[in-house]
Amino acid sequence: MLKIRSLTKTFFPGTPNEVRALRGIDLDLADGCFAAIIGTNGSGKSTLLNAVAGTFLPDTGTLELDGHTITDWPEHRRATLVGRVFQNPFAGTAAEMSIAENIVLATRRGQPRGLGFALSHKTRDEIADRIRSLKMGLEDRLENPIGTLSGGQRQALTLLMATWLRPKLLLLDEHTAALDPKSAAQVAVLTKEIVTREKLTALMVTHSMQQAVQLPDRIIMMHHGNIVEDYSGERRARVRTDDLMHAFDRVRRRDLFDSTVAETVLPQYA
Amino acid sequence: MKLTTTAYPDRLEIKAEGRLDAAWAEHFLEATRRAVREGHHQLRLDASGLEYLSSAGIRSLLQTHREAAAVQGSFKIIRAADFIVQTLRMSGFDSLLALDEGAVATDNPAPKAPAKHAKAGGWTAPGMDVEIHPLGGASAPLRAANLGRWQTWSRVNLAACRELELGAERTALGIGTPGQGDDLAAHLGDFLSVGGCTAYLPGDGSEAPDYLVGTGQFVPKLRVADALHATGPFSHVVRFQPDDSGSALNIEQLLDAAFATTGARSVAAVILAEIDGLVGMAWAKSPGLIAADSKPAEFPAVREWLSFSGERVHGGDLALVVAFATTEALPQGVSIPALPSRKDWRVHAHAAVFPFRPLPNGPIEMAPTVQQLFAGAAPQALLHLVEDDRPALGLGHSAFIRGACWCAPIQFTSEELS
Ligand SMILES: Nc1ncnc2c1ncn2[C@@H]1O[C@H](COP(=O)(O)OP(=O)(O)OP(=O)(O)O)[C@@H](O)[C@H]1O
Ligand SMILES: [Mg+2]
Repeated sequence: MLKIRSLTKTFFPGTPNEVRALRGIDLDLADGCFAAIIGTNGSGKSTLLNAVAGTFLPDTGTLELDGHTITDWPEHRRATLVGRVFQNPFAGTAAEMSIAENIVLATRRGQPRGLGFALSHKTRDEIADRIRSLKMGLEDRLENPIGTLSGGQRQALTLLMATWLRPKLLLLDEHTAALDPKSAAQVAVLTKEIVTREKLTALMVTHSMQQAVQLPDRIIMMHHGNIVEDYSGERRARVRTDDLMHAFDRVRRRDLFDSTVAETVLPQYA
Repeated sequence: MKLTTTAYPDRLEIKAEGRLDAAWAEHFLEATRRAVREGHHQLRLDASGLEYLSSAGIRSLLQTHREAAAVQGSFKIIRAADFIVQTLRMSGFDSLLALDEGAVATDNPAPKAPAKHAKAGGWTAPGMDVEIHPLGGASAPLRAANLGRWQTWSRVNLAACRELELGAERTALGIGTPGQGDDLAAHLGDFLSVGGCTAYLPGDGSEAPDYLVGTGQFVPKLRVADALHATGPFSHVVRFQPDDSGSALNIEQLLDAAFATTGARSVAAVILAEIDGLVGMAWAKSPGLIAADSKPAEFPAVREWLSFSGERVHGGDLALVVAFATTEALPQGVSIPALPSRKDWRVHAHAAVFPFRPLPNGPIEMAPTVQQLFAGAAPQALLHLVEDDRPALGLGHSAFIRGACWCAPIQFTSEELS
């Protein structure tokens, strides 16, 4: 479904602030695969998602999605294939508009606008049905402005909107990180439900080891713009949060093992 | 609840004032655990100021009793008011009461039991309080040998890897694996063995060591690329803790104790101690996979092979260390690296880390103690200890707080004994 080859992105190249955010990423994501991306701060997780969504064009490398070579596609064109949810529950929805209006707006993205917001009964029923599946009681509040909802409720709705048209790829960037623990757990479970039910292909960035272990089919660890671990299949099946913590530890220790350490310890291996 | 502790030469009294109930039980237990950890194994609860004792409180008393008994210590309640006596009687735990002890006039508190300074020669045990116990074994040096003789960083000749039996009488460390053939090449890693218990960290990216424990007819064996080993009973056990300065001890100080105690210039030492932190390395990838024409020891390639602890690790845990140390010239074929802080010493040491548990005081025996350790919990880490003496950035030495150092004089032979 998604095929990434030798993808690189350097910010501020040739300046003292140069950041090699992606250093040659190769990644194949099978149709229907739900993968988590974990990694230290600044390891390039968001940059990778942005590169796939088309926020910027990569320096080198190619991107293929659903059989299309999208490397040169602008962001709005990729949006016809890609759904996104960000960390901030207040992004991606219009606070003063009602739940129903927000949904109509979101679900018509990329399609010609209809005649304002006069919703047919059929549309209204369909919206209510889908919102009922969130089990948050929001189906009775379709006319309420979305700004009156809690962060967790808003993030659940954003998720629903991003997946309404069954995108070829769903990108989630720490979409539960700004929520209180209970809402975060609720949205995490909902994510799994929707991705499974709709058989979506998804990439989810998370800092929660628990989420990484509980939700996805595959776990990818990034460090310094590279993929350093890829747990899938049997290895994925037996991975525990402890193993992920150890893997983090390993990459951190590797960074600390510099040439001065080598000079000091190697003579102690006579 | 308020807790006040007073140390006497033969016991530690903890005076509890207030309510010992569910809200305070855990606090009380933490205090008694800390006391046991610090070597106070004869505990008394002065209950004269206790106003209330709930079931949760009783449970914490029983737990303290159990934990003190586990290190051959004791826990009794003294000066209990009538209602405490009644409460304990009704719940059937009056065996915790020592009714007569409390009546005895209290002697003068001694802030700390004086250590027995049965020290050797002119050695003064700088920085530590020690108790030295001979173990009654022969004090003739044990024969020690180097088996396998792999030159670090060279390609491993798999055919030259030798089988080493690791029975209860043997003390060993080195690089080996239980596997054969391809397995051997892919899984070589650091190991140590004491009292028939072997811990090894496969050099295949494993985080946790594996272990083999000899029982009855079963004697663990490893194929080793390189190993140091000595066979026979150890001559002494040195019980140690920091002196009044409270500074944790490094391996150099403990080996100094081993040299002084045995009077030998080559020693084997087994240290079991609470640690303040270890500094060490482990094989991230089996050295059996080193290719003939590669340069694995060059930076940054070496990072593929060795993993560095990166900081002082495992503070508060228990470490089992096997060390071979010498101040004399080694025979042909035996090699041990020089200690950076003391160039005239050659030391090779491996450490296995276990969850903390208190050790009984006094002259504890090596093999049974180590067997109990392995029976109680699996080793959590295994390291080849190094000193990081880089200026400013260096992590320094591994540091030990309190424990036992068994030692034996050894004599290295150039023969490749197995
Ligand atoms: N638009 C940008 N302009 C300049 N630098 C950027 C930009 N986006 C990211 N970076 C830099 O690229 C590196 C990777 O950032 P990125 O946001 O991908 O990390 P991340 O793995 O998502 O981290 P976090 O867990 O903190 O979200 C960082 O050093 C960051 O400062
Ligand atoms: Mg990010």
